[in-house]
Amino acid sequence: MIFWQQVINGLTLGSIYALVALGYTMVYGIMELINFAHGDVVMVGALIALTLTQWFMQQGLGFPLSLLLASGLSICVCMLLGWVIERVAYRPLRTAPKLAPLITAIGLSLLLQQLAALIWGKSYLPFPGNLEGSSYAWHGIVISSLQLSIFILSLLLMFLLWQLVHHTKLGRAMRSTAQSVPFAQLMGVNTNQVISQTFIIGSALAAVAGVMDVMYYSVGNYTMGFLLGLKAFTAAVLGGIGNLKGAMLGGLLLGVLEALGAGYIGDITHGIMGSNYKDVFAFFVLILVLIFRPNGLLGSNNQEKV
Amino acid sequence: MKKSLPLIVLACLLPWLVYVFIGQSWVRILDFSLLYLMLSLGLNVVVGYAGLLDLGYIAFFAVGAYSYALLSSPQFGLHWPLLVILPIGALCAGVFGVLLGAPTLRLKGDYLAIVTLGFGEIIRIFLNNLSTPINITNGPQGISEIDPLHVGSFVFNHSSALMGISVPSVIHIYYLFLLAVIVTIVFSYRLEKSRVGRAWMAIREDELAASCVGIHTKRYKLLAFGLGATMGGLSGGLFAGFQEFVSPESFTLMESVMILCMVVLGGMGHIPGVIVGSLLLSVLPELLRESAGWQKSLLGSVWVDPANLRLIMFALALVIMMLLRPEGLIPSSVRKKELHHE
Amino acid sequence: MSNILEVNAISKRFGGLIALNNVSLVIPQHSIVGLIGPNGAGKTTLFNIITGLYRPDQGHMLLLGKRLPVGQAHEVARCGIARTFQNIRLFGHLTVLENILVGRHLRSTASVLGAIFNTAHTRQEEREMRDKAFYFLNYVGLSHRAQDYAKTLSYGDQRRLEIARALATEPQVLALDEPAAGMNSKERQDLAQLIQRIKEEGVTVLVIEHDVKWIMSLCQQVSVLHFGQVIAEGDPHLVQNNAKVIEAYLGRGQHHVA
Ligand SMILES: Nc1ncnc2c1ncn2[C@@H]1O[C@H](COP(=O)(O)OP(=O)(O)OP(=O)(O)O)[C@@H](O)[C@H]1O
Ligand SMILES: [Mg+2]
Repeated sequence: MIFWQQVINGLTLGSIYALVALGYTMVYGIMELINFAHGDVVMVGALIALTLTQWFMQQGLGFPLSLLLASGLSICVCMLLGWVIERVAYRPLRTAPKLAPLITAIGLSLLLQQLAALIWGKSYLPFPGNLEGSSYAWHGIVISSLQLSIFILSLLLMFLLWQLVHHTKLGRAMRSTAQSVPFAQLMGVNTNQVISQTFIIGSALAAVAGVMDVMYYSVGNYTMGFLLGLKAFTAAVLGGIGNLKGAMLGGLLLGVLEALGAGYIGDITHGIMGSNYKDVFAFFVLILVLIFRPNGLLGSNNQEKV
Repeated sequence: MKKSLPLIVLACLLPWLVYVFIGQSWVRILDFSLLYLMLSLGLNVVVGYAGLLDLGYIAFFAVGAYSYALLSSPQFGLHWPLLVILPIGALCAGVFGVLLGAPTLRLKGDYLAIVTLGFGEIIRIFLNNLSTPINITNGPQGISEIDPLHVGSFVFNHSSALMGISVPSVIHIYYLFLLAVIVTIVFSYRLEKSRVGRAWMAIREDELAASCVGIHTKRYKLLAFGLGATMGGLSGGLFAGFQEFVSPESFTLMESVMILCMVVLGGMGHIPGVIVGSLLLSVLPELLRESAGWQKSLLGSVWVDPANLRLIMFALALVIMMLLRPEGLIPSSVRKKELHHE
Repeated sequence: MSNILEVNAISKRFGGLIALNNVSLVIPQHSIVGLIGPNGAGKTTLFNIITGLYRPDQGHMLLLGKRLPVGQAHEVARCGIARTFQNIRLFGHLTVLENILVGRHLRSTASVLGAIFNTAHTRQEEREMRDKAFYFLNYVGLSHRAQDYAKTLSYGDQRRLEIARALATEPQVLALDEPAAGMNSKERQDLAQLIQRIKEEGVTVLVIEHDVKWIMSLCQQVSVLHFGQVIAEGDPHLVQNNAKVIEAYLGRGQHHVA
């Protein structure tokens, strides 16, 4: 019983990871860059949604409407943020050695966190409104409507992204840019624009994930993006970085692994380790995957060309 | 070597000047900058020479500090002498470096960054939680009442009287740290100019080509990890003895990032750059701390928390340096050409 | 004349593509052996396998009768095989001299401890290494550029520096991947002389090149790869008139026209 309950919880969490992982994977697929600041875009999305929901409710709007408006605005802000990040910090370094954009990315991540700390303070902010909602019980397993909505909405977004990448002109341009930038340019693709759009789409998904995360845990904080980002990155690597299906699978899998791990770690270690070690799981998974299957579950085995 | 003599003389006089004209608290800040300098020199071996981006470097500082703390405090009732535990701490950190490095060797640069970051966090989480079922690290409270830095009956952490002049403890500490820093610099410099250093730089430039001239790339990368970690561990031990207290709070990701900043700001792979970078970034934030005062007098209240300001400054330093001057403030001519892309 | 290197039934595939299919070669000692074939024939892949950068799916190699380690480039280098790359891979931001010094890695022993304590042995070795390095720079005529960054050299000089770096390991077999690419005819002649000289010093040279005429005049033996298979090997003149070879090259020619 506990097992299935943990699986349900894990799937909910995992679908949030998957949305964030998609952002990492798309950027990596196209530019071979780990966008360290991606997790912090999630945080910005979450905190903006949190504050605006509160504000709209104070203006007398109902909770659902406030949430909807706030989320919409937060998505827009994050899209803009993603665009700016790429333009200012990554584009000038596109041909520089790897270390350079990586270091800028770390700097940006820190910058976003500290700016958020200035704006929102350092304490944990509660998410406004009553999120209890109804829940469904079945053989002792409880699923809240929030969990259900998170899961369904995530699947829907992933489906839409899949359609976008595989059945639109932009998607084709993205795929050919991922193959090879010079080649795509030869084929008449405006690769700069494609890269911008990739960041924008990734950031929009990040914002949605941020809203979900802040609702699920019902608190938000300027540091919340760090761990979430790291786990989502792990999910992307687990599935095979650069691979959309991989990110989705990796996210769900990591969520479940983590939930089960947190649930059972006490039993496994005879109480030596408690659930306070649960955040270590993601790291261990990451390290194990990188050692034993560095291309991830769905990644192909590419050998460096000499 | 000859050219650096005036610098060494200046470095020896500096604490007295600062002590007399500014005050004891600033000598303490100098002490800390020397510690940071040692850490930066260690990270420089890993990032600057071998080109491996390590984001969990502070973990080795932590290992060194906790080794010292556990071997000379009431925690286990052990009180071993300094000259025994410092090497032990450094060695432990070195071993950790090799252990953590080993599984990451096959990874490309960006993966390496994430994994080392993960390792750094794992170590911190363990430090926080290894208080049950057996109390090893004493959890978030940390370990206190650590023995001060001492050799025989001479305690660096206490002031002494020399020919009628009283020498404050922070100045003792300063000279101890200065000695450690000078030794580290000399060793780093020699490594840089040696067969080993050239092998690292070859790996940094082109790992494949390096392996084709017979460089055992894995071994040399591990060596860089291990040596960098050893240097981190050594400074960690000094840190623990200086503070007489350690807790997991001192070993966060932010510290790793800050040391990376120091290396990057001055110029990766180039010792003078690393020195300038770490001195700048350990002194400037202290000036910023005082900014609360003038913010109040200028703007009427404290608008920006100085602690935030400090980190924002670090963040901007990283981003702006990479965009405008990726070779650092005082670059080696080599790195300059490398990072200025066509 | 005995064989220094034997390649036995090597196969390698990349996904669906069969880059090498059951390739066997014998390289006689103290000779210059040419490897030719159309683009994508698998020449570089064969080099990569011999020098340990790729692991073959099947087959093995013998160096003077001993099994050559597979997939471990540094071990292969230690056994005495050095190489250059089709797309030059120098340590661009080290000086010309330092590039050679890195090439001397296997021929020196200084360890970390030796380095940090700057022992007499280390200093002695460092001096000897420098002298030796200048010997190799002189050998290819680059000693006047010793202190410049490798990246600043002209294309032809970079090729020669890469050869010097490989020679600095004092190999038994030197594998050159299209060393004459992008050179004019004067440079090609000089290069041929250099290769000849290297051979006379007792190094066996294995060289990939597209210019059939150049390679025929340089080599004692030529092997032709086509779609991952050896379609002809032996005396240059016989190979040149081999029907399969003519077809492979003409076939490619027609392809280009189409
Ligand atoms: N790492 C790799 N991954 C995938 N395919 C590869 C890889 N290396 C080589 N190939 C493929 O193997 C085939 C043989 O390539 P190879 O480079 O050996 O040819 P080559 O004979 O050296 O050609 P060229 O004359 O153009 O240098 C080519 O089709 C190439 O695309
Ligand atoms: Mg080739």
